Amino acid sequence: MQLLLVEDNQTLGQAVEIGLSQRQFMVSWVRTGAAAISNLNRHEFDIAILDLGLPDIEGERVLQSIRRKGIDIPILVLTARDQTRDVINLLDAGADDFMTKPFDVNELAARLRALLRRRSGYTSAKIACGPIVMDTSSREAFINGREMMLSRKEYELLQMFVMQPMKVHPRDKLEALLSSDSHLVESNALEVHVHNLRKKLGQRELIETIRGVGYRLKCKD
Amino acid sequence: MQRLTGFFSKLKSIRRRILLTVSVVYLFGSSVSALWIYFEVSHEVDELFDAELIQQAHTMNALISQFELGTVNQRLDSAESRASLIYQTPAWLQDYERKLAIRLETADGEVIYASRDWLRSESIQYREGISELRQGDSYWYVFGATNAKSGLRMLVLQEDDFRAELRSDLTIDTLIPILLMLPVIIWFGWWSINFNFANFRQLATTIREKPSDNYEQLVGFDDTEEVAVISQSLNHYLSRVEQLFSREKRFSSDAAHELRTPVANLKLRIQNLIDTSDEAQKLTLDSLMVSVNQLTRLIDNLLLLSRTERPLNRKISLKLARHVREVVASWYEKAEQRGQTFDLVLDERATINSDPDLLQVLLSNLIDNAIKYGAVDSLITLKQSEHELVITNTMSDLAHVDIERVGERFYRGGHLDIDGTGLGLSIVENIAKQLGITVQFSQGDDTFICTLSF
Repeated sequence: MQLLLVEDNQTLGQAVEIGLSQRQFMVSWVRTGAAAISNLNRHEFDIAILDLGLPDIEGERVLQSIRRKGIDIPILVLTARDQTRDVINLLDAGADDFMTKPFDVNELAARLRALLRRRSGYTSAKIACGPIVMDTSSREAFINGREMMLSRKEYELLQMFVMQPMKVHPRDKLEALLSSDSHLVESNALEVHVHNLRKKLGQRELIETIRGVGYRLKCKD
Repeated sequence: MQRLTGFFSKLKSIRRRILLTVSVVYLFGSSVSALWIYFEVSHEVDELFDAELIQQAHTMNALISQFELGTVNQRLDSAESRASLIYQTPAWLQDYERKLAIRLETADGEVIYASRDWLRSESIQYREGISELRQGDSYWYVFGATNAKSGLRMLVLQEDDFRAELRSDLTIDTLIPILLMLPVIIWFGWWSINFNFANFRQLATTIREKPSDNYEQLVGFDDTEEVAVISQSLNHYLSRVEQLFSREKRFSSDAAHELRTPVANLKLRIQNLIDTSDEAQKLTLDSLMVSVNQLTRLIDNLLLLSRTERPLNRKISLKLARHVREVVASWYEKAEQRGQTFDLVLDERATINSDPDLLQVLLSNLIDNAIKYGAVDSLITLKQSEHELVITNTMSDLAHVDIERVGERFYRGGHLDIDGTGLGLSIVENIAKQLGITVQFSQGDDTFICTLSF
């Protein structure tokens, strides 16, 4: 995979180059915004990593310039800023993902691979956790290979649980999901849906009640 | 005394001060004017009535000159009698009639005619021209003249009542409209002051409603010179604050970049080495990585601390229970790893005006703290009412904690073995101050208690 790394810091650039090369990325490293634009114009890259604090042109302007030229490769931005407003601005300017310094090289490589998969149109339609398998394209759900007949709300609830297993979901977030297209939700609607889901799963302990907080799916992916 | 204090406290208003000053000046001016009128009127009235006395004396002199010396008395009596036959003075005018009198006397002072009985026996020191006479309670003006033909002395008298009444009537008539106008002038003055002060009020409302992160210039306050001066000064101040704020923001941003970049480099280098090292080297590199991660957290917390000292964004109405639940959910797994459980008692109706991001950081730091320093396999309780949130956790070695120093930067109460930076509760105190929340740390027998009051 051809990767363009735009990083002005000598030691950090070198460390990223080594780390990603060890993880099967072919890294071309440039140190300025102008060199980044020129390289992306002349060569074919699969993906780019862009540092925001460049010496010649602000990283955000480099990003906008690349997108204006019609170059639509995935771009992951490295930033030292982590405030919500900064992140929103970056994503609006055309970034596909971002990582805040300091970062883990394994996570960086994983995110790059995910961006490339999304780019090539390959995203698995199947998500699974323990005995549960869900097909997000056909909207089917299975428990131990047996199909479950779920209502739309039950399906959405289960999908949220399966996508983040072991994570505690506060009841407000789950209620918001249930009321997404209806303003009138009964006060015990969440309990009713969870009860039905437990019945259809056949294993009551799979969905754990966290008293006073919410629910979580107890399974390992 | 209390009333006087109340009066002076009311005078703290510029509008009231202006109104009081204008009213006092108006009353003082009116009083000076009334006094001036009184003395002018007195002078003119005296001149007029003195002229009238002289005129009467002249008429009398002409009349006496036609009489024989020995018959003056009889002639005057008969003239008076004839006059009373022709014209009978009505009762309501008799009071006025009594205020005028005439006396004729010889050069020796022998009274030969007096129009009033009391005047006949009254001892009067004769003087030519105008003089004054006190008779009992009344006060008279006297004009004395001598008839050149008979040598008789004529005294024409007029009681002061006439003049005094005229003087006081004219003065009161001048003062009444002035006093009647006073409430109207006070009302109009109050209205006019309020009307002209409306721009000040509008300026105050605009400043009060301005979000703390909005440094836009104030416009539309140049109608009046006084408000324009304040508005221009505020605009100057706003632009200086904006410059200072953006300089500080740039500094924080630059500092974040400068601090995080070398740490990122260090972390990557260690990871790259781990990939190519043997097991013994990996152990050393792993411990280095722990230090790097600790350094990262320290930098993050220092940057967060500096950010919480900046002006606050706009506050919005939030459901407190919802935010507490969200934060507990995000920390649940970490608590679970330490065998800790939560007990939540939340008031679902309670709302507060706050900044959601900062509130999230505040709650997150408190719960992280409760988990980190709470005893293993213990209970963390969160009790939230309308105006309070109390977070309690059990601590096995609370004796090490100096409760007075909790919240102090880098204070960790002897828990140096626990992974932390010592900045979490400083951040909490800073955010609480920004959000107008009172935060109080206390301890029970074996519990650490944090009370937030909204």
